[in-house]
Amino acid sequence: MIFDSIDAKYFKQQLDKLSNLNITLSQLRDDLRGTGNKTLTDLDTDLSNIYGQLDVALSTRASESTLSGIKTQTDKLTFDGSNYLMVNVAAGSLTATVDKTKIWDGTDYLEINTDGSINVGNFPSWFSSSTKTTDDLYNKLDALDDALSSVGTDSFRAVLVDAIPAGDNWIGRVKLGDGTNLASIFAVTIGGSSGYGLATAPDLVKMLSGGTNYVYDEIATSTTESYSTYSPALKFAVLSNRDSTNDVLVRFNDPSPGSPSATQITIPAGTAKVIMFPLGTLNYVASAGTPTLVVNGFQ
Amino acid sequence: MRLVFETKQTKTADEVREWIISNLGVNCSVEVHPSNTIINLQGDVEELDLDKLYDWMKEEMDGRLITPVGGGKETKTKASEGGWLRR
Repeated sequence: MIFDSIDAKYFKQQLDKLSNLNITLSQLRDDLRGTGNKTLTDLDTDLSNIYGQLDVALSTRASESTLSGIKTQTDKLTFDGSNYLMVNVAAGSLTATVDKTKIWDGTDYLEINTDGSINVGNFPSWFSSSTKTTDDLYNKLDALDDALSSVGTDSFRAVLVDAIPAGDNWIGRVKLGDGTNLASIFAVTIGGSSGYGLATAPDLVKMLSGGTNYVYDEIATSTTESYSTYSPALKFAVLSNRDSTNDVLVRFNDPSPGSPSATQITIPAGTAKVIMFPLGTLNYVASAGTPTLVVNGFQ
Repeated sequence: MRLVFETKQTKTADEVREWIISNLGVNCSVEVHPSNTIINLQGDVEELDLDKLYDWMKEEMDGRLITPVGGGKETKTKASEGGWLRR
């Protein structure tokens, strides 16, 4: 048998070390558990839960530098007081794939339909005081198309002419002619003043194409004033009083031949007058009797 | 074709001529006197259009064709009504 002997001094030294334990083991246990009184089992459970939520490696997540870069960009976004995003769209193409959307400022909007058509919710006030739809625009354009389809008709010409306001109106690049030959502007002197005039040809040219009617009328006048009208007007006429005794008084182009006011001209008995200007209306009355007034002329 | 109507002076020559050009599509010259109207049609006119002209003259000017001169053949012009005008 062997006995190990321990030196009493050594033993005392070891016992003196116990003086370093300044807290009790139960106090140490409580301190380790902390204020939440968590046991090692609790900590293990929590760590297991956390670990269970880490479905991928942290190394696959965005790095700090990447997140910083994103933040740099998002810091550029600005918002108004209502937290609406405020943006400026740069020139160029902007493409958005949406089923249906509205671009609006809270009141007026532009709506894009799924078929690509556009609805305008509220037209600007300068366009109309009432809400207009695309159908309204279509109807207006359709009416305009109808109006334009009548170009060349007399009614449309009348509308154009009537639309010209009173006063001086310059007509710009307008050609006057028959589609091939242009009418000409000539330098003229009228009443001592020089200017430019549009060259015109009298209707006498119709005589060359057989379009002029020769008028020969024997009119039995009386002391009651009567009148005749001619259309087109006689370009010139010879008025002959065939009577040997009684004069015939005539008026030319009275604007109201039924109640005339134009100056009367006498054609004495047995004489004639040549009228060298257009004659559309001819009033006549005998001084006495029933003298015959003969009218010769060209329409 | 020269047509002479016995008429009342209820239209001016311009009014008659404008109606003919608008409705018959032919140029013409017109004289309107106190008791007759002379129309010179410059171009061919269909029988139906002539009937329209006669009807209009009758309605608007109490017109009655009295002397068709030149260009026409001797026939009844108002065939649908047995003919009261000749040209």
